[in-house]
Amino acid sequence: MKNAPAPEKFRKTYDTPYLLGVYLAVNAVPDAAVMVDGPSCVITKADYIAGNHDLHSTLLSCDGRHRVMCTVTSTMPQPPNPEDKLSALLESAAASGLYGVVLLTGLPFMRLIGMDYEGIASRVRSGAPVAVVPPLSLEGDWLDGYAKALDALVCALPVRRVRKKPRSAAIVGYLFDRNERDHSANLSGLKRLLADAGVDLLAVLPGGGKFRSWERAQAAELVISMPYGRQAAARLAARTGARLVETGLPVGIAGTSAWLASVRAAAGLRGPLPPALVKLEREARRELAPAQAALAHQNIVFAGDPYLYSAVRGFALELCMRVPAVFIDSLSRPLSAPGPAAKLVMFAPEVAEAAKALAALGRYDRPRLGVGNSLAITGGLTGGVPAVELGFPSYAHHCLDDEPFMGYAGARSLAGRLLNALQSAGNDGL
Amino acid sequence: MESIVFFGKGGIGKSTLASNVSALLAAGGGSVLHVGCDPKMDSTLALMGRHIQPFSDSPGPDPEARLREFIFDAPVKGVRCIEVGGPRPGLGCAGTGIGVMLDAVRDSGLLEKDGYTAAVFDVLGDVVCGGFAAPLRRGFAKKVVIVVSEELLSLYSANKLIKMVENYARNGVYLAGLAVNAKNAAGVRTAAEFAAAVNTRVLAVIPRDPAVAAAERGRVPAVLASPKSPFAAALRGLCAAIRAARPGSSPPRAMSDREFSDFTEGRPPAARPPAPRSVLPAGRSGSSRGLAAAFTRARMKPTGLEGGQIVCEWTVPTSFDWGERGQGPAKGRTSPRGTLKIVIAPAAGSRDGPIRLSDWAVCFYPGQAEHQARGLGEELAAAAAGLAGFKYAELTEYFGRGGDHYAKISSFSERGNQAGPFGTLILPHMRLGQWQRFIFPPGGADLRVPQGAVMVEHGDIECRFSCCDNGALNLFRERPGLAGPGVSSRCPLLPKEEAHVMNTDFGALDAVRGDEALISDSLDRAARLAGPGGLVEFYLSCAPMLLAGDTGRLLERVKEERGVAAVQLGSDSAGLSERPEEEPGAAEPPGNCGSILPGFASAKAEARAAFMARKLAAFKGVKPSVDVNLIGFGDCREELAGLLERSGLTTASPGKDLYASAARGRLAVLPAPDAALCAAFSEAGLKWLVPPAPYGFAGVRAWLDGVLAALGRRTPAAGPAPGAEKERRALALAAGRYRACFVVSSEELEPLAGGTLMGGVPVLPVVLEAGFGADLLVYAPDPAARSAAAAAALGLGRKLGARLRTRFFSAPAQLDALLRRPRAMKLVYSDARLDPRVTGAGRRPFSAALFEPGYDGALETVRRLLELCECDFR
Repeated sequence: MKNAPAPEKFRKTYDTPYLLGVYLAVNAVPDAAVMVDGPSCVITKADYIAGNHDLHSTLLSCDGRHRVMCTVTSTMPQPPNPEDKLSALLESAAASGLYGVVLLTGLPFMRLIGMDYEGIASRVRSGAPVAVVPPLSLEGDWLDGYAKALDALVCALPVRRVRKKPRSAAIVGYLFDRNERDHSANLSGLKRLLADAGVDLLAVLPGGGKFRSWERAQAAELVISMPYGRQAAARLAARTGARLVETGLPVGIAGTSAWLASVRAAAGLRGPLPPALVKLEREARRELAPAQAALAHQNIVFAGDPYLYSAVRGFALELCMRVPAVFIDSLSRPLSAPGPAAKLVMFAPEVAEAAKALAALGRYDRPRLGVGNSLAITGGLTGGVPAVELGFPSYAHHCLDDEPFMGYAGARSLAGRLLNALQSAGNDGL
Repeated sequence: MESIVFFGKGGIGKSTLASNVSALLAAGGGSVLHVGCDPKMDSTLALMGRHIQPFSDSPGPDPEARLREFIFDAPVKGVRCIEVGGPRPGLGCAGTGIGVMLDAVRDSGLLEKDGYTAAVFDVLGDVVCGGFAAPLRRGFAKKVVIVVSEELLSLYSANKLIKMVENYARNGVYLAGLAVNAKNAAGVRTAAEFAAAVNTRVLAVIPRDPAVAAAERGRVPAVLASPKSPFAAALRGLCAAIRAARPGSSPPRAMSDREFSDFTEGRPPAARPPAPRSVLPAGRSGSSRGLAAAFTRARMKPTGLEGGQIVCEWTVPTSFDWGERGQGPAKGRTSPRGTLKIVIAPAAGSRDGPIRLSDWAVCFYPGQAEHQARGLGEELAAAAAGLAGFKYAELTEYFGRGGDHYAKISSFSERGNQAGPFGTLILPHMRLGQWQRFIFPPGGADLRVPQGAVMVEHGDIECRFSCCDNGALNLFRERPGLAGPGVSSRCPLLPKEEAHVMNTDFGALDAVRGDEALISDSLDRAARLAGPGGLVEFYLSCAPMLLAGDTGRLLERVKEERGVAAVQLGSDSAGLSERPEEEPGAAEPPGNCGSILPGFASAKAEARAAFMARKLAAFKGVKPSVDVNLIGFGDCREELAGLLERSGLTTASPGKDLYASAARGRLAVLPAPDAALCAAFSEAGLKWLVPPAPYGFAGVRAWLDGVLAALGRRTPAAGPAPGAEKERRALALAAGRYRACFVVSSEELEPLAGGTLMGGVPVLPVVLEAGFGADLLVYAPDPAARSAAAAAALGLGRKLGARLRTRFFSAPAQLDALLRRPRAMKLVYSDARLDPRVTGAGRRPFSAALFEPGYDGALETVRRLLELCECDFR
């Protein structure tokens, strides 16, 4: 058997399903619930987030009052009146007083059955609003699920005439994937920066607040659309008459400054960044300088979502680093990243093929550092180099204290993580 | 914008009428999108003069761009066409294709963006499935035209279609009327009578006209080819009638099957109850109050759903004189006065002897039909009459209102009576709203992929990510027992795919076009991996199951061509997740595979047993060279092998080939019964044993004694290491200051004596042996349950030779109060990580995951428990 060929292995693809994106959105709104039309496997799926990626998640509850619910509908036998049952469950959930909003979606087989979810949801007229996230698991990925869920949540907002607050903004489409202190630090940092920029940040959708807090966004003059929820942002802006500005993620020093400048411009504020921000920027640059010396000319392999990639790539350029290899955990999307194109870009790649392609990179393109999520790192997509765990899911990196990765403070923190990862490899003699 | 959908039985002329209506609407200066929703792809032939490429040919992102690519300008001015297309006949799901395309139309806002004044949907024949009703969803068609002839099947189909339109009225859809395409005047009369019977109108009668056939041969709309023909004149009338159609004050109403039968046989219609009010009355809360009062007046109480029908308890009026009827009390009833079970069901699907009152009917529960004869039917009819003004959907919704909706989910699951071994629901994670539960059975200890077998899960990416280890509630945690990881934790990995388990990644295109090629390819790969003589297990998950493909034939092919055994195992393999390489022979992903649909577990066990027996047979005649072969003990193997060796037994070192290793051992020792493996060993004449779990000093001795006895050895079992007994006594002294508490239901009391509830770990006996006191908090919602639980607790105490302090609760507040005292009760068993119910009461949660086997493991377990007692989790 010595010379027997290696056994054929099945494909293992680097991707994440639609419903996990929906769950992330529900996870980010503590009084939201989602009713998934399908069997009970949809509940255990929440384990990918609750307790693993997000130590503070309330998606699941030990007393069985989960925020992810299911209708226990199976393919066989098909219920004679699936719509009536679903209507009754939605009525009950909406009227329970437990939730600020109830989302409804379904497993792929319910899409094949052709359930009229919007019609069913529209019949629920009392209690918490009920909104439909189209069941697109067969066509979409987790980023679609998150974006569609945010859009559904915006649809569920009660339409109120609210007086606009001058020079105010709401961020829509932030990826609030967990209730840990990386995100809370990001958002409090951005609020302070925007205040220094002359813009009052009224709400972040989602930002960890209850659904009612989303109503504050209706008073914003400006909707800042982040990439994870463009449709929701456009809908909110259209509904409230707010101006809309589409931005990337404020990662890195230059990235943060550019983001602040574009928000200021959209808010009608002229001129350069105010001195307070310039000072912050200068301080951040000064503090980053020692790290930059160590990080410069090192190659990064990035594995994660396409929007975070764009932001990280921008920061890498700022640090004089290169990102020659990119593995994206979603379906194919246009990538908008500054600088020269990466040599290796794969969407939802087969893991073994990706690892092989990475190993085949030329000497000067081989990565010394990885930035990726848990599935990439454990799946071998970072090629075994020291890696900084970032993005969803992050199972092995939790933030019990403030650890932003956006804004000027986030730039310092992220550069520190990159530096430490690189140095730890040095300690191992690599 | 006009938005019209044509339905009707196949071959009745829908496409002809729809395409001519599109042409006429455009001729009036409009811009029309003609949407062919028929996999035959012939709807647009007359308008386009040729076949066009269907939308379903091009899957991929950016639906709007794809839509625009497949919308074609017709030679008919003002008309643009798109065909949905569909799979090869007999494969795939055409309905899905329609839904996907229409969603793209709506989401892109294409109709508005491109300034269409009308959209005409031509939908395949009959009522088939939800996909074919897609044009009736929100944001699409408003007016429905049903094409009928005098033929019985055409009218039958139309009646069903009216039912569908009734259902979708919530989306603002309404029936414009019927287009009658009858052979003769008698046929027109029949159609008109049908229209009257269902309370709708005939929009137009379409004459048989040779101009139509001539135009179709030329692939042009007849209204343009022969504008002066009778057909064209009728179509102009139809078009005008459709444009003028508005929702009526008295909506159409489909006939029940019995009414339809009366209609077709020319019998006068029975008196029909008044049509229920349209959709929903204004003011939902008012409606709910009204319904509550109506149910109360009717003395009915909805209690659950069965087969999609509402089951109620009905209190028989006290005025009903049972005796006078001379029948005596009903069978099974202890009192002549009381409650009976009744069923409220949609009229069309109701059981025998129903009393129809609205779009629903009421009847006695199956097996209670004798009440009808007793005269109670009249009483029931009188009682239910007060509910006649409500539609079935409203009654169901009323049932859903109020109360604990988590409990409702269980009621609605219609699985409430499928109890597991201890009265629990089959699926542990289905304990929605069961606040009193602290013990979660580990998932799928019965699931393992035997060496040489390959598992193919035919499912989508959601199936692949259906569960993972180490979640907040450990809903699918690994078994905490002998094969488990102890207190170590591991992050989830990319799920379900490793050397022996795969998911086929079923996608939208497979749904629309059919999945035969995907299955075939996956089976071939699996068969290559399993090798000749291997076993391929094929799990069909939910979405592909709906396609009802001929998977049996594909399995037969792979068996013949590849020389493997292949078995198809039902619908669900939730619970498969990747695990790192473990000992050879058993990749054991946790899960509930085979546990959802009865019968699959045994089918799987049979197939595996036969396969493993064949593999073992290859080693027949091999002389055993070691005493014990430990199988499936994971991380615990080394500890247990050491114990066996100290008892004078030799053990097999882990080998790569399970079957070869098994044949070398005189005795196979397993941590838990395995239906397939045990049967295979028996079949191969190999001796196997599942001894008591080796936890606690007593447990370890019993385990060793069991193994030695099975081998016929009389040598004494190894004892603990020198000094271990002394340490045990010291630890017991410390443990004596504390108590451990178990929150259980009465059904869980008896299993607490062993390890069946806690992944094979006998937690309570070990806790008692360690010197802790034990408290039982038992959920007993009523006095009867309390009395039964008290007896069971007493029995448990006697069995374990311990005094168990037992208290009862029936509400969360009571439980919380009980958890807060006494002070010595430091530990509370809970499988939920850092259970806030426990920590909130100032106690420390512990679980079977802390327990280690062997003598040293027993001491370590007590040390851990004592550390917890001295920790502060508040």
